[in-house]
Order: sequence, then C-alpha cells, then structure tokens
Amino acid sequence: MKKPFKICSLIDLVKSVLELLGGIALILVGAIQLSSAATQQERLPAAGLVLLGAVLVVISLCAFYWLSAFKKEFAKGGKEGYDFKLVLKYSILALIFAQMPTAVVTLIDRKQNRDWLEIRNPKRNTANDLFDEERPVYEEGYQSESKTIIRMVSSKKNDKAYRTRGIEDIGSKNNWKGWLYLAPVIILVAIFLIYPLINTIFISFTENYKYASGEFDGLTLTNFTYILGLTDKANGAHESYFVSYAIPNTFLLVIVTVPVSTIIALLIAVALNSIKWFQKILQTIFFLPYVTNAIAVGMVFSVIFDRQGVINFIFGTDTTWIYGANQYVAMVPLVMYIVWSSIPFKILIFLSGLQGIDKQYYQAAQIDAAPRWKVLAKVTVPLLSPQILYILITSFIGAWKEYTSVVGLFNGPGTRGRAGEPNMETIVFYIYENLNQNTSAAAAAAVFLFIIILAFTGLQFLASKKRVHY
Amino acid sequence: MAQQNTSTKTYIDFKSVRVNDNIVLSLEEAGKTVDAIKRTEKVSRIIMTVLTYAFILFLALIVVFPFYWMIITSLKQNDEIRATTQTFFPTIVMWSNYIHVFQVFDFTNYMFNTIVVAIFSTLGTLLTTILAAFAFARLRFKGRDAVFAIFLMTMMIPGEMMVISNYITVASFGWLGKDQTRIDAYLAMIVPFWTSVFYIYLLRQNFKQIPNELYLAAKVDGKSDWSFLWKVMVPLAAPTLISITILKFMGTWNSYVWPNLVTNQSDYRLISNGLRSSAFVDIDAGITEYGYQMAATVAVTVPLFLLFIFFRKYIMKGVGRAGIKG
Repeated sequence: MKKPFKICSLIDLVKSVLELLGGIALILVGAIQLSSAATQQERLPAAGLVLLGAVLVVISLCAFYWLSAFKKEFAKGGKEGYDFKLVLKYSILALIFAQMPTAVVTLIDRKQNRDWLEIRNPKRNTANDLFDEERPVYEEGYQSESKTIIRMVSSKKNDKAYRTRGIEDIGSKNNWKGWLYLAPVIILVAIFLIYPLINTIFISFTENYKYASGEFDGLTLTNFTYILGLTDKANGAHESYFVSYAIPNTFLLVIVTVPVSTIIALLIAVALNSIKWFQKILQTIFFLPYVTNAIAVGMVFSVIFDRQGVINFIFGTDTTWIYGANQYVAMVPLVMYIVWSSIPFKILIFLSGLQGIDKQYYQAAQIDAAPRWKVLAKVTVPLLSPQILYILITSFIGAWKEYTSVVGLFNGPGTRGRAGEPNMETIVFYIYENLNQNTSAAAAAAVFLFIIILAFTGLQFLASKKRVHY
Repeated sequence: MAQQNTSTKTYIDFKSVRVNDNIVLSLEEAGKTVDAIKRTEKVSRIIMTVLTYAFILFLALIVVFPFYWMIITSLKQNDEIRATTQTFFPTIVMWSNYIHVFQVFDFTNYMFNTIVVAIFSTLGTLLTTILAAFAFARLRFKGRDAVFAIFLMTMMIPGEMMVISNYITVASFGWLGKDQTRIDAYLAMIVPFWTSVFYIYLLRQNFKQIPNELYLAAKVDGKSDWSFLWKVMVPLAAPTLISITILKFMGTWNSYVWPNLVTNQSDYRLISNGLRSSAFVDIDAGITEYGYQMAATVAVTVPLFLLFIFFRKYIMKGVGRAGIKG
C-alpha cells in the first residue's frame, strides 16, 4: 500500500478507537447520571448521553468493519488487482460511517487512474484519439515497459453480435423482468422484514404503545431506562426482572454453552474423522438430536432430571433440579440440554471442514513425530479456523436468543411455575412475556438485544482478523 | 560429503545383503532397535484407537440416552417412574399409555394443523425462493446487487425484532382477535414465513453453478426465460429444493412461539404447543403422569425420525450447507 494510505489509515484507526472509547465513556457517564437523576427533566439529557454514546460505538464499529473491508480489497494492489466498484463502495460506506481520510484518498486515486478506466470502454477511442500522438495506443497483450497486461473489456453497447442473431444476451436489457421475478419476495420482505425492523425501533421510543389501536402517548427515551430498572413508569410500575434475571441468565448461557459445546463438538469431530469402522453409523447417531422437537426433548430432560429421576438415582444425590429449584442449580440441566441439542450441527460443519484438510499436513507432522495434542493444536485447529469462526458466530447469536429450551424444560419463566418469580427468564423470554401488555418495553428489549448481537458479532469479526486463516 | 573422489570411495553393495541375513539396524539416539520402535508404535496405535472408540461410544451413549429414556418411560407405570429404585426397563410394558394419550391429547387435530401449515408455507417459500434466486443468479438488471446486499444484511437481524411488529401487522390484516376463524389462524401462521432470505441465498449459489451454455442453448431453441427456469434449472437444482422442503417442514414441526402468539384457541395451534400445554395430570393424585407425557413426546418425535431415516442424505447435506433450523 502506498504511503499516504498508511498514514491515513493510521489516522482512521486512532480516530475510531477514540470514538469507541468516547462512546463507552459517554454511556457510562449517562448511566451514572441516570441512576442519580430524580426528575424527568434531569433524566432526559442523561438518557440522551447514553444514546449518543451507543450511536458513537455503533458508528465506530461500522467504521472498523468497512475500513478493514476496504483495506483488504485495496491491498490486492495494482491497477488490475482490485475491483474499483468494491473499493468505491467500501470507501463510500467508510466515508459515511466515520468520515475516513482514507476514503477521500481513494476517491482521488480513482481520478488519477482515469486513463486505465478509459481503455475499459473502447468506444471512447475514436478515430481521432487513435491517431493522436499524445495518447498511447493500447493493444491486447503484455506491455513489457509498464509490466502490465492489457485486456480489452467490452461494454454493454458492443453486444450487437448476439442481438442480431435473436439471442438475447443475459447482460442486455431484461430490467423489468428481473424486478417482476423479484416482486413477490420484495413485497414479503418489505412487509415482514424491513417494515417491522423500523417499526420496532420506532415503538421502542414510544410511550405506552397499544398494539391493537396503534396509539401512543408521545415519544420518550424512558423505555430503555425502564427495562434496565433505572426509572419507573408514570403509574409507579417498576421493572427489576430484566436486570436481575433476564440479562444475567442470558449472559451465563452465552459464556458457558458456546465454548463447552464447541470444544466437545470439535473433539467428537476429530475423533470421528480418525476412526475407520462404524464411522457413518456413529455420525448419524450424533446427528440425531438435530431432528427432534425442541419442546419434546426439553420435557424428556425434565423427566430425567426429576427429583425422583434417573440422574439423582445414578449419582445417589437428592437434588432438586427442575421444579422449585434454585436458579443456579436449575442452570445445570438447562446448560446440558442446550449443549446436547447444539452439538450435532457443529459436528457436521467440523467434519466437512476436516475432510477438506490436505492429508500432507498430517504426514509432515507424523514424520516430525509430533504428539497428538500438538497436531490438534498446531495443525487441525488453525486449518479449521474458518469453520470455527462460523460456528462461534452462529452459536453466539443463537445463544443470545435462547427461549424454547427454557419453555421445554421448565414450562414457564421460572422454576416455580407461573406463580413464582421468573428466575429462569432470558432476554427473548422477557420480550415475549411483555409483548401484549407492555409493547413499548418489549420493543426496547428487542432493540437492546439487537445492539448486543451486532456489537458482539462485530467484535468477533475484528478479533478473528488475525487468527483465522482463510 | 565426499563426492569429489568418488572413484576411490567404496560403497557397501546392498544387493548382496538379503533379508535372511538378519541385519539389525539400531538408532543411536533412542538406543532401540527398529523392531522395538515399530512394536511400541503399533501398541500405542492400538491403545489410541481403543481410547478413541471408548470416548466416542461413551458420548454416543449420552447422546442416545434421552431417547432411550423417553421410550422406556412412555411404557412404564407411574408408580414405577416415581419409585426410589429406577429401572432401566419397564417391569410391566404399558402399551395402554399410548391408547390413553391418543384419547386425551388431540393428536390428530394438532397433526392436521401442522401438516396444513407446513405444506402451504413450504409451497409459498419454494415459489418465491425459486423466482428470486433465478433473478439474482441469471438475470441482470440495475440494482440487483444492491437488493441482494440488503437481503443478506437482513440475515443479521434477530427474528425477535420482527415478531413484535409482525404481530401488529397480522392483527391489522384482521387475522387475529376474538372472532378468529381456522382459516385466519392458518393464514397468520403461514404468510409471514413465505420468504426466507437464507434459502434464496442457498438456491442462488446452486443456480449459479449451472453453466451459461445451457441458457444460451435454450435461447437458440427459442425458449423463454420462464420455461428455461422450470424446464432446466429447477430439475437441476432438485436436491437443494428437497433439502429446503425438508428443513422448512422441520421448522414448522418445531415452531412454538409464533403459533402460540397468533392463535386464540388451542384447537388451531401446532404440535409443539399442544404438547407443552396439555397437562397429563392424574386427577386423583394431582401429579403429572410422566408416562402419558412421554408417550405423547414419542408420538411427536417419531414422525420426524421417520423423515430423517428416509431423507438422511438430503437433511444432512442441507443442514451442512444451510445451518439454520427452520
């Protein structure tokens, strides 16, 4: 990469890091102010600070992402190397999200390369141009002086040969036809995907939204502070379950189930890949938990972990796991159930990855007499890193949205049924519980979940840049 | 190295050495003969294989155990289930549990609902997916890549964001409420799932692999885009379409939240909802009859298993590529 790019991207990096840190600081300051604020007038600016901080964090993460995408594309080098359209797209996105100096430099760079762009469109080489002494005449082939390969690329206008024979080229104008084919999907996506997304974000800023009539009492920021238990509703309603149960439970499930199930699945996949006999049968057996009904197997687990069930019998214990259990004891069957049901998919992905690894690496390791664990750590895992990244991202997103497993296992939000406190509640559970009665709070919780998942996925992509070998 | 004076150097004549001569090579570092090293390697390989099989079989047992327990519990008497000594096979096989469950649990109704919803939502999804994938893979028009990028971006959004507004949307269509009919309930459960960005992506990748020459050949023969799609592309992409169908069917079989939200009568709900909401309580004792409960669970699980046995190849391939349940 050229020198101005290096300097500019350094400026970008520093700027984005500062933005990220500033955003986090703003969120913290706003949260502290919110917790000490007493009146509505004091709360509003504090909530504004939190929102501003969140926007900053999102913007800086987006900037990180687009900047790195842009750099990756640009680093392919040379005039022929990178795709201008992509570079332009990424630089515009980076420009929008964080006013990147690098993006500006790219746009200038594009102008300087105009000559090259023109030869892509031979129509511009009119007769006068060709005989002009000033302009170089391009021909297809290798130019030894500039050490570049020149290739004439036809533009759309030059496809006459096809058209005269009555064969419509796929590149010609079937504009309206394409949209016709897309119409059903676009209508459905607009109604059931795009509109709801915008609408949910909107609802999260309204007060007392009534889903039946669509009425609400003005815009507010208090929904977010309400679900976090910082402020109370006008009628004195106070929300403590979201902070005391939903967030910690979800977080615990995420940090326990994802690594545990990934490691177990990796070990099983490696073992399955190394055996000779019964490989297909065992593979099928390990896939079985995938083709089950989540609710049904949840009920089976609640029977297995019953007070008079088989687990207590085998281990000679007398623990209450499910009904009436302590919050953290009840986590054990829940985690086991989630791990049990999530390994088949991971094993399948890992196995297909393992089968794609070149055997030479293992032969080389064998010649060096490397011990097995070392082969696993230094050969298998690095070569499997794209699959591991994919699994980690999908299962992190899945774990943040845990819901049906709780319903299957506990038949309600808590271990004491409907009557007791919702001590097994997750974030998604909270959303569904409040959907009817308190739509605004449910929407706020959904937006909260959305931001967490986005931030987490972004962080994972960033962290993986160095470690994943594509 | 003494390559220079090769003429003076004498080499061992390997040809004259026979296997019968019992040469013993020994490696100085290890102080072991080659035979000994070979032997230890063989032994360690056998031990490793045995350990690997033990590990895998142990975990396979754990994976299978819930299924086994589900089946045997469904055949036990309630007294035996709640006894202090658990039995690993029912002392009296209670087939009557199943008869009781089919009397109490309205299995046929839930089954009917599930199949109707599964068939119509799968048909709708297939139609929209094929059309959209064709447009993305084969046709060229302005804004195609932009639309595709937006579609891909929507995959990042958690479904829970949409549920709230979709609920409101469906309500505004008049499909919810007190006077909900069976058709309304079906529509509310089917229509929002008529499109899946992920399947579009999957099928587009498949369509892209079909060579361009086929398209041009069809054009020479005077076929329109429409008949090319249905006569050539769809049959060629049949395995992917089967995978999509099965995954979609499994998704409907598993769906719990949405049917629960948008129906106001348990008659209209799907199999998962029926399973979780049915009580299976022994009225005299006031405790849950696990035997009945598990019999119902088996009845719900078996159809999926049959599907899996018949379409194992398509399911595992589809999941390997798709990786999303439902």
